[in-house]
Amino acid sequence: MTGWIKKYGHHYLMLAPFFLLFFIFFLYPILYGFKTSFTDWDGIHTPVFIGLDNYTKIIHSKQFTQSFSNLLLYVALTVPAGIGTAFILAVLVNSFSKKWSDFFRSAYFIPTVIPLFLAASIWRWMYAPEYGFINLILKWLGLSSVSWLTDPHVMMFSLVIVDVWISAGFNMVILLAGLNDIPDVYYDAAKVDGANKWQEIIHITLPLLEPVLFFSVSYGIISALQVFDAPWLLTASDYLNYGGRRGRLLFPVMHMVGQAFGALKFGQAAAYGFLLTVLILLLTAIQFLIRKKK
Amino acid sequence: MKRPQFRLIALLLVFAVLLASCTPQATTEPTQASAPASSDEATQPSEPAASEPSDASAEPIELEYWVYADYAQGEALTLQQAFISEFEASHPGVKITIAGKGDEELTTGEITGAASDTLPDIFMNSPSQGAALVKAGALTNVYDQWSAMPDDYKSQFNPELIKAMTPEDGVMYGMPYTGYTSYMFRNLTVLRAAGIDPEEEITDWNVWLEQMKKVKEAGYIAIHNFSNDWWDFANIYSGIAENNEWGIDFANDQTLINPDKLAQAAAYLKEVQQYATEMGSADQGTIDLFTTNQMAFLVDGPWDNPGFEKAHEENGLDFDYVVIPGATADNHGGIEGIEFIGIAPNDHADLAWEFVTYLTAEPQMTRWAEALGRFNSNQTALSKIDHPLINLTTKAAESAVFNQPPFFVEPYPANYYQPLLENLAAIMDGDATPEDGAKAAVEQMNEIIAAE
Repeated sequence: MTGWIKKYGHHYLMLAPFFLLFFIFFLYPILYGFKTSFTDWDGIHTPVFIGLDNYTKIIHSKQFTQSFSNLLLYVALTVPAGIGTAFILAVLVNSFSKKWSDFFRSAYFIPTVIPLFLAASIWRWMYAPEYGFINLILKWLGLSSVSWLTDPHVMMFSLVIVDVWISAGFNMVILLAGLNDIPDVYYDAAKVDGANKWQEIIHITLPLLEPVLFFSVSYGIISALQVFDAPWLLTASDYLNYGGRRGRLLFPVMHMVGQAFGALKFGQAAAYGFLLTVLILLLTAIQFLIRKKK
Repeated sequence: MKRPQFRLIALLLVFAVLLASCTPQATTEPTQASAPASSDEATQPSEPAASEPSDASAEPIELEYWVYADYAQGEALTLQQAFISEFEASHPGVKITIAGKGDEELTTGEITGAASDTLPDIFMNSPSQGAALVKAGALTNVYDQWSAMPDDYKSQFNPELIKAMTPEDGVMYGMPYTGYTSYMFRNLTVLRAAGIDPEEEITDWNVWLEQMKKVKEAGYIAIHNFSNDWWDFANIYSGIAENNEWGIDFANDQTLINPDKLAQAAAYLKEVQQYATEMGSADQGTIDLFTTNQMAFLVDGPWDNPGFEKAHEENGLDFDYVVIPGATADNHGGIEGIEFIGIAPNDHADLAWEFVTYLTAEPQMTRWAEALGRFNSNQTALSKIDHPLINLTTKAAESAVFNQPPFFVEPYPANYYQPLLENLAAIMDGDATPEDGAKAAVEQMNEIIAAE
């Protein structure tokens, strides 16, 4: 034992700061949050243990059903749309000369670095009825004005457009890195065999890009499941009213934040967080299982 | 010593200096400013409040005073600093430090301050956050101190605002300070273009609707949306409801909203819908429509006024402001909000109360209202000032509803207004009648309250 400590002790000592910080700032808050989810706690007074009450209250609430239905629809729309757009952009940018490739890569990345509150303000103006930029174009084309942020049938699509606009640049950069790693010899061989561009994409690019695409899709789903800021800002939500017209942009994290900081119900908010975590883990595990089977 | 060691020591010294600058004493807010010895603004110094001057040789007492960010800049800060200097002059050994905070920062800072025993001695906030502050133990009950004040001080205040600070007998959480009431801006250029004489008074909803129709016929937008935001809706609903028909009855777990009046307000808004944009008052697009002479009416608060004054100077925006019309000539719409000054429950609470009474006494409130044109709780002070905005606010306050009553009782449930807005949307979309929608809204709001 003494020999082992002498040989490896200093290695573990060097790792200790990381594990200490990991425990204090990561593991401990998670465990504390889990404990909190079984209590009635206003954030100030001593928490009172109430068993599974928080979980049953949440699951039986109307807002739970609505927020999770919205969430599943949102994930189903935004992840394919986001990754699809990013993939098209990546293939296009990859085909440009270096100078133009650099230019467009930076240009498409700008929305990712714009503060979200600013992006939301820009989009609220773009979506404004009558005199919003998009409706002016529609009017110019002879089409009628669309209530992007108040028509319950359209609101989800408006959010997805904003989300794709924000995330496409980030995903494009990742996919572009993957594209650059595909050796040219495969494309040269395909050309010799008479493959067209479409066939190259289907039979070479997509299969060889699969690990990067898997990362982008997994990351996209995890991010989408935690959606909060964009719908909150687009619907000008506050703690007393969030989720937009007819609750069409109500998502679990919005309700979680409302419970915590609006109603000072930190126990319920923690329970909400853990339900969402379970969903995220479940969906991520399913993705890994599907990939493993393939 | 080798050179690298020198470098290391120099680096450590720099690091130490940086760390030292991060000590709590040095982390003052950018807006923080201690009171100057004298101020040009303090042109009308009043008699300082009755004081018990501290022994100058004793340990100096430092009071921390948190105010809204806009009270810690420009003319408002100069005036606050003048009040502080005057108080300090009559209380040797007392030092008051003022710090400006944003709305959210005030609330979170005060709640966490109460939990961590770092609460400022004197602080501002809105009574709509009062229940959370009471829960956090951030507020001193000043009822006894208030009761012990002379009548000529107590009689200066608006009784409604004092009542709002008193959730029950024997309990009072601070002094009401400033306030606001929403009102209606009118774009006079648009009105004239629609053939409406701005001198013609809008006595009630019907007259207002007639004007909206004329505006629309002239090719303009009459007004903004009122059904997508509880604030906008309350501005209209208050035009038919009584002051006690908005808020929550926590004792009986039910909303105070009257379903019949809610239905009438919704029916009116359904008629207004054809003349309105879909944006609410909070949208920048709505402000733009008003300032670019495309929309006739905008219902909002005094915070829009500086921007409109600027647009008047730069682009010739021709506007005025009037009370929000009510369903009948004897009622007005509008929402009333207050900012109050609270005191931390600590050893300096008595001195802090003395400072608060000095701040809120008539001479100081008169100077404050004169300089800033802001409505405040001291009606004796307001009666001495002839400012159009203050006069309008005073008139509008007569029949406005408080924003989130009752204050200092319970925090509102999260998403409390969602059923209201959801059912309003159903009414506006034609999916429900005003009566059915209003009934459903009230029932669902009661369910939310009961589930808390």
